[in-house]
Amino acid sequence: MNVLHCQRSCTYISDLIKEGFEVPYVNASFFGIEQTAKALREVAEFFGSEEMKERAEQIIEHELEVISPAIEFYKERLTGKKVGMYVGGPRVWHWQRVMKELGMKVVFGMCTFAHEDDYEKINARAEDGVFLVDNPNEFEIEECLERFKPDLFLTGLKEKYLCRKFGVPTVNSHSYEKGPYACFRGMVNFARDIYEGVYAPAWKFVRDEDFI
Amino acid sequence: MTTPLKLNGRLTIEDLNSLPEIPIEGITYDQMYIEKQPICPEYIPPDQDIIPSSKRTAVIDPGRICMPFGAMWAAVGVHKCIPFVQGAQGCTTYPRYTFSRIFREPVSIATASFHEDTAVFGGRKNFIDGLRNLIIRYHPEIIAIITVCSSEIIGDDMEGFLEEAQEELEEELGPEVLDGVKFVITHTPSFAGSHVEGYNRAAATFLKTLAKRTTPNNKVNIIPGMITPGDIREIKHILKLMDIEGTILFDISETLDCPLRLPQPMPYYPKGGTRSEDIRDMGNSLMTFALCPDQGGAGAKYLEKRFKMPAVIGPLPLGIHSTDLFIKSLAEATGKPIADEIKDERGILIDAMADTFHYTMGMRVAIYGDPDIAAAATRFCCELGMEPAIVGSGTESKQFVKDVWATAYEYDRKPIILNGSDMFEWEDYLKKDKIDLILGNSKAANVSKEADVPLVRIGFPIYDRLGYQRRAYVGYRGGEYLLDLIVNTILDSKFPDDRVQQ
Repeated sequence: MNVLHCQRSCTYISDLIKEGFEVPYVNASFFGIEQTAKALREVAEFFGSEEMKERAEQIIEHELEVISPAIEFYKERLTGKKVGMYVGGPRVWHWQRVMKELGMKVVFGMCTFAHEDDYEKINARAEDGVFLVDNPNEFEIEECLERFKPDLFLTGLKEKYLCRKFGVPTVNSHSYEKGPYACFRGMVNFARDIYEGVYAPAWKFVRDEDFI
Repeated sequence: MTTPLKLNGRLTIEDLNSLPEIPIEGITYDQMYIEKQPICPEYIPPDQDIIPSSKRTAVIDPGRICMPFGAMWAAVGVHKCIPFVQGAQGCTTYPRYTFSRIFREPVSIATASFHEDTAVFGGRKNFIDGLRNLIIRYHPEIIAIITVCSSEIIGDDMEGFLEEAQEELEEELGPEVLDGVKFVITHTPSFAGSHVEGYNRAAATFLKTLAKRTTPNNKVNIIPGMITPGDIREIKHILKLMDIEGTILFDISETLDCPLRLPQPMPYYPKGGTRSEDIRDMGNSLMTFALCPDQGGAGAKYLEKRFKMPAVIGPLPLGIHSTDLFIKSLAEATGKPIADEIKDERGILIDAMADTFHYTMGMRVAIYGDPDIAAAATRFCCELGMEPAIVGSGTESKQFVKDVWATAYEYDRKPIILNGSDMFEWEDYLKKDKIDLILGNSKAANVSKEADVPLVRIGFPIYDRLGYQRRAYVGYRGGEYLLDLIVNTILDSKFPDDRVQQ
């Protein structure tokens, strides 16, 4: 079987492999606790082995135990923060769940390469009132920052400096800041980088009335 | 014959001795292999009982030097002023060596050249002879008389000696020669404090002796403390942007960082330094700013007491918050608005902080330095989201502890504070902790190497690198430079090569 993480670029080739060689595939996301656990369970389910299923449960239980204190620390501090997202395509819906796990609220989402199926998934996972923009330009990004005043914007390097100029922290969502973000342990890195973004002391100086 | 090469191409002593001919390029250090035998086979942690400096009578690796040095630093910042050290020759040799190492500039300091007989008969004769030589040969405008441990111990009556010397020299050289020289006496017995206190006392004695009140001048007084020539230039730059006239007492920016241009005057005097008439006029200013509370605060307090002149004592304007305070006080004192250029400079520093917080946040830092600088660096580290873990000052200071605690409270940090401790104690804490970065002076370089924790150089003294004395750490632009140093050091040490490109 093939396990697909990037369901934008990999689906085409996986379909061909499935057709030509009868190798099936499962879609999986390795971001966040719930999705990583689901991916492990589905892979185990596919093979149908009780041993593998048991092993998957063991891994999930152990990993949760390892990361829980750190995740709790960050969740406590990030709950209620508003987040905007502009990533390639699938990452928006991959991360909607992750944000929820950190207690954060997604207020708008943007994609450059998303197709219809991506938007279907985003819509299915979105709460009411989430604003979506396809293939935004800089002006639309500025407008979203102004309108939704997010506490964090998940985006790449090119938009990082524009957003930070408006006093909005970003986390490099393509190649990350410090350490991988995938799977259980990577989630701690992700939460840490988000926390550092939201709580960097630089932001509190920006709005000092005397120097505006 | 082939050259015997060993150890990555480097030559041992035997190889050197067996060379048939020395190449015209000579043999440089990097080509030589000098075998070093460690004193003990492995690192043996010291006995924990002797770690706290309070439990020892001996100081190990002191983070301070002697009180006269601070007074000499001050005097070197005055135009055509020569310090006259009432002590042994070593009391000027080491300070001159230190000045030269840090600034790579000539520094003239006179000495009474105490010997054994002086200790018995007192320093009167050497003092008068020395002053005579100095006046005849160097024509100084001010002579800063600085005592040391020995002259204080034997009880040299400097005020009495000076009176005698003036009488004697007036007769000998004529009143017009003597009228051209002013004398400032600063008592600096090292057993009562460090270089920090020496500078502090000089700030008070110069003002007590020279400052007068006549007509208001709408200027502000700035007593910078022992910061770099680059720092003082930055302060001047801020004053200029704010359209404020100021007098900087002990302006080393043009005495300890001078251009090489011919011809030079003989005897050599730098063209800069605070003018004696400007110090006189400091009694007429609107306000005094002592940027370092422990280095110069006494001068500001004197003016406050004597002329009812408002004084702002500290904090050193390093980083955002402290620079904000300085700028706001300047604006308040003079009624001038905060210049737009200043707001831009502030914005550029904040922009750099916003660009780089993912590198700095959460880094555990060990800080060591003079109290004012260590306290200022602690605050800046917090502003970058870093975690000051150990903060040490070589000179004891209540203000230092107060400032560091205030910062720690504000940012919810819990640093270990070593007040007036030596580097031996600081080093032990550093080695027991997990520290990412050191902010300290050149004296921390060995610890940095041994503990494999990178060092960002700041404070006094920096003698193992070039150019730090020309740079500013204060003000928003200084913060920018310090931020660059910190982030680049982190990139060098904490990030794999393939992760530094964004």
